[in-house]
Amino acid sequence: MTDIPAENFSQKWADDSRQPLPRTSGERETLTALLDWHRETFALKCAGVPARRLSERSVPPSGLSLHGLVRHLAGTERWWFRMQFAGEDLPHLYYSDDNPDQDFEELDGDVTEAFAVWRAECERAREVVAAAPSLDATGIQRSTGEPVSLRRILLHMLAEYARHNGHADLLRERLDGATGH
Amino acid sequence: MTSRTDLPQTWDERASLTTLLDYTRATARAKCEGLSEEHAHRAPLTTSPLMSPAAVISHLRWVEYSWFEVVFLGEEDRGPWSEEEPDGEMTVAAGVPLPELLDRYEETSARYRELVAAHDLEATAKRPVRDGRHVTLRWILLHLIEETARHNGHLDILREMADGTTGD
Repeated sequence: MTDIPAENFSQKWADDSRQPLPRTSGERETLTALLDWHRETFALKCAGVPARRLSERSVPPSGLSLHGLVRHLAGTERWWFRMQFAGEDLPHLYYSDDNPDQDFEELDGDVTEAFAVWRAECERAREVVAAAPSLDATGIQRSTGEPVSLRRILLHMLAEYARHNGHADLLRERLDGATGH
Repeated sequence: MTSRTDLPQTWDERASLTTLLDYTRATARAKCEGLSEEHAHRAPLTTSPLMSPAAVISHLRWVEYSWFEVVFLGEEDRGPWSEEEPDGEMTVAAGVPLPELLDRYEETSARYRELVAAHDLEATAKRPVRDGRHVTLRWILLHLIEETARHNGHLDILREMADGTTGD
């Protein structure tokens, strides 16, 4: 593929702060690096947007916004890594049985704080993963009471982030025209 | 929506990767179910004039081709792109009925399922990627999972803009 001009590949995001991906590592290193790459991709998609515009629902009729996504992702990190894998006794973030979609719908809170909460949940999730003896280690899935492996959780989170970054791509493009992978 | 198999709970690496890749492929197909031909070929974002659901499906098919046949097996690149038409894998979808594009995508995916089954996850690609390194089959599978999932995020929004349909 070396014969294709660089400008013909999909354009990288400006001011790329992401770590280069390992290409030949084992399963655990590759998977955790790729998940971190997607976490940082989400942060880049939100970087440089004025705070008030982060709550804008810029791809109607969808109700999605970057602010809604960061709340959702923070809740997802906590739910999978801390509550289910590590078994920590914690309340849900931005979720209750009576009000399940508050992560996306209630955007009157402080958006800067929402990003700080997300960063903290990512950091705690990394610690939980680093402390696990292997990807075959299991937590308990709350919905079924069945064991769920760390491998399954990491893969689920990778697919979850990637799909939401697809949402973030178009949300950002609609805000100021910025694109890139 | 089509029935899809979500991840197994505790399977090994290979089963987990292949199951999740198939899940993301099936999700792309599910996002196209019941979509009219007119909407399938319409690109609703003015700043991304090529991005129609049909073009995304064609892109996904040719991305798999590129990674498995050109990069991993090292075969000659016969993709629909060129220096003059770098987005050829998307423009080639114009005028092609969506069911036909979905069939081509499924046919190529079936071929690559066999290819993956016949190789070790540590096997390295014949051709280097842009940084000069040779990726493993593991890396390619993980990359296709995240690339397909990211495009499914695009399809989520394109579909909802087209006719209001939402869903996982």
